Amino acid sequence: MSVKIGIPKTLSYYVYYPLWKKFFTELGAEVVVSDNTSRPIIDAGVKETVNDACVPIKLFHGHSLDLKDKADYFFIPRLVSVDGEHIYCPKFLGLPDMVKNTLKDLPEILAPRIDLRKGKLELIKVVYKIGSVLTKNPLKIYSAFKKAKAYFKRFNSLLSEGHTAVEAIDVLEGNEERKDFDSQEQERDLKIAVLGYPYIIYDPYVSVNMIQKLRDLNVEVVTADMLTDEELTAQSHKLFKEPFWTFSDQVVKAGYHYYQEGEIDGLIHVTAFGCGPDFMVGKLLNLGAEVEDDISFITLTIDEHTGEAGIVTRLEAFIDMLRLRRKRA
Amino acid sequence: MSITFPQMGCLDIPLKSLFKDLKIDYLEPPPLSKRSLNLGVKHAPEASCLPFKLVLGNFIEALELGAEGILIAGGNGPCRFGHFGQLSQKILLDLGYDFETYIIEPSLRSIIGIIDTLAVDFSLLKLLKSLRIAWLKLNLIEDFNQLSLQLGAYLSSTDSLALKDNYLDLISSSSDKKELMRIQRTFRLKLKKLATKQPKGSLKIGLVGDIYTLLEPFANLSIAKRLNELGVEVDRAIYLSKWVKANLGVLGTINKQKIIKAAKGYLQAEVGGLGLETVGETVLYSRNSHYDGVIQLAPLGCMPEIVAKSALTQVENELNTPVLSLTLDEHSSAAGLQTRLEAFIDLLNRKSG
Repeated sequence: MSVKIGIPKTLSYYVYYPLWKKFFTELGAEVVVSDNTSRPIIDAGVKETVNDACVPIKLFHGHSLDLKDKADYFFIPRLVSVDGEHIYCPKFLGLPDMVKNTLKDLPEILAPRIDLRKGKLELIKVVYKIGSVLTKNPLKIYSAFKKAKAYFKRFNSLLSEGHTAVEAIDVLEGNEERKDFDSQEQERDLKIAVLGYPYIIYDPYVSVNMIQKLRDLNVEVVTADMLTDEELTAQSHKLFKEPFWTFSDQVVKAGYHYYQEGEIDGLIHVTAFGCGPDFMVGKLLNLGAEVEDDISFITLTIDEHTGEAGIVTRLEAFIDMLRLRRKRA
Repeated sequence: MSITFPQMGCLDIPLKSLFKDLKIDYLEPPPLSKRSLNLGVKHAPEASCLPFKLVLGNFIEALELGAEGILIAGGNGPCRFGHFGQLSQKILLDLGYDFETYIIEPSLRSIIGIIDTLAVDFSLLKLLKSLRIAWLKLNLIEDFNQLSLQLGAYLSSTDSLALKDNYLDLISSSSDKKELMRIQRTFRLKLKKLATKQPKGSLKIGLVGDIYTLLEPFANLSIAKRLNELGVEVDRAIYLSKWVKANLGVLGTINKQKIIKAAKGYLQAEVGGLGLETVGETVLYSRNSHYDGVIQLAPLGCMPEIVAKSALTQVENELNTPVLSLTLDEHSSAAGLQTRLEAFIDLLNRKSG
C-alpha cells in the first residue's frame, strides 16, 4: 500500500498543490486532501486555534483536524521565501509549529524549510529532503520534480487565462473542460479586479463563490494571477519600499497596474479579518483608488461568521452602482 | 531641516545625543499621550497594531509643531514594523503634510547614507564617536532600568521615580565617557540604598513580548511599575540594547543561541518581531526556579506574538510555570489591567504558598 501524504485544502494549497501533488504521486505516494471548506471545518478550527489568529490560520487548523485520520504524513512546508526576495507572513513561518502545538494526535508532520534566499542550490537541497521521505534515489526525485514543475507551469498558465485555482486543478485532473474566456468577453459590460490572497479569493466557501457570482452577473473578472511578473515589476517605482510579504507585494502591484491601465470599472479587495499585512495593503489600494475618478474601490472583509447573504448583497450593490454610473456618463 | 522621530521608551535620549553630536537639526516629538493615540487611531487603518497607531499619532504631533522630516527604522520583515515608515508617509501625504521621509534599513550603507544627508558636516570618524556615546547612553539607561525593576518591589515609587528622572537628566547632558560611567556607579548605589530590607518570599515575574509594547510604558500602561507596586520583582527579557547586540553584533550571539535552543521544542524558526525570543525566554524563565510566572505583552493582532502565544500554552503545560498573555490596544484600560495583574499574583501566591 502506498504512503498517504495529507495536504490541508487551504493556504498554500491554492498556490502549490499541483506541484506537490505531481511530485509525490510520481514518487509513488498517494496524496490526500481535506474536504472542501465547510461550516464544521471552520467551527472546529475556531475552537482549537489560539484566539487572536486570523481566519485563514483558524481554517488551516480546521482542515488539519479533518485530515488527521486520513493520512500517514502531513505535508506543511515552512514557507519562508520562494523567490529569494520576498518572505511570507509570520504565521506561515510558524505554521508547522502552531499546528503541532495546538492539535493533538496528528500524523507525522513533514515541514521542510523553504528559504531560497540562500541561493539556487537551496532548492535542490530542499527538493531532495522532501523526496527522501519516499525514496533515497536522487535521480528518481529530480525526475519527479521536473515533471511536477512542468505540470505546475500548466497550472499557472491556466490561472493566467482567468481560471480560478479550483477550476485550474479540475482542468488539470480532467474533471472539467478548459474555459474560453476570450469568447465571453464581448458580452460582459463591466470589468472588475478581484484582489486578495489566493486562499481567500479561490476558496469557494470562504469567498462565497465571489468570482463565479460576478461572472453570473455578467462581469469580467481579472485577478493578480493574470498579470505577468514583468507587469508587476513595472509598478515597483510607485512604492517607497516594496512590501516584503510575497502575496501582499503581488496584490499591491496588481492593484497599481489595473489603476494605471484604467480598463477596470472597479476593484474589490477581499481580506480576511485579522490579516496582519492587509493593514497596509488595504490602505495602499484605497489611497491609490482615490485619485482614479472612474475606478471604484470596495473592501470586503471575510471572517468566520461571514454569511453568504451579507457579502452577496454588498457585491450586488457595488455592481448596481457601477452600472448606474455608466448609464449616467 | 528639522527631523523628527517616534518616541519609544527612553530611546529619545541616545537619539538626541547622536543628533546633537552630529549637528543634525531635530524636533523632539511630544511624549506619547492620549492625544497621540487618538490621532493615530483616527488616521491609521483600523486593523493596524497599537505601535503603528502611536507612531503615526506621534508623527502628526511633531509635524504640527513644524518638523520637516520623519525618521524611522525599517527592516526586512516579516513583522509589520518594517513598513511603518512607508505607510506613515502615504497617510501623512494624503493628510496634506509636506515633509521628507527617511527609513533606516538594517544595512551600514543605509545608516551612513541617511546621516550623511542630514548632518551638516559629516565624517565617518565623527559618526563613530557619536554612535559610541549614544550607544553607551542607551546601555546605561537600560542597565539602570533593569536594576530599578528588580529593586522596585522594595522601593517607594515616588523616591525611585525622582531618582530616575535625576539620573536621566544627567545622562542626557553629559557626553564624556568617564563622566557617564561615574554617574552610573553613583546612581546604582543610591538606588540600592533606597531599597528597604528585602522581605522574604516576594514573587518574581519575567516579562516577555513585543519590543515596542515592552519598551514604551504608555503602550503597556506602565505594567512594570504596577507589578513593582504590588510587591513583585520584575525582570524584563527584552531591552533594546540587548536586542541590537543579539541581532547585529557578535557579542550577543551566544545569548541568541541559548534562546533558539530553549525554544526548539515549541517553535523552530524565526517568525519576525520578537516571536522566537518570547518563546525562548519564557522557557528559560520557566526552567529557572527563582521565577514564579511569566507575562507576555502583545499588541492586538501582532503576528509574531500570536505565533508565540500558540506555543506558550504548550510551554505552560509542560514546564508548569503560569503564563499570562496580555493583549493591548487603544481600548485597554488601567483598571482592567490592574484587576488581571492582581488576579494573576493571587494565583501565583497560592501556587507557591
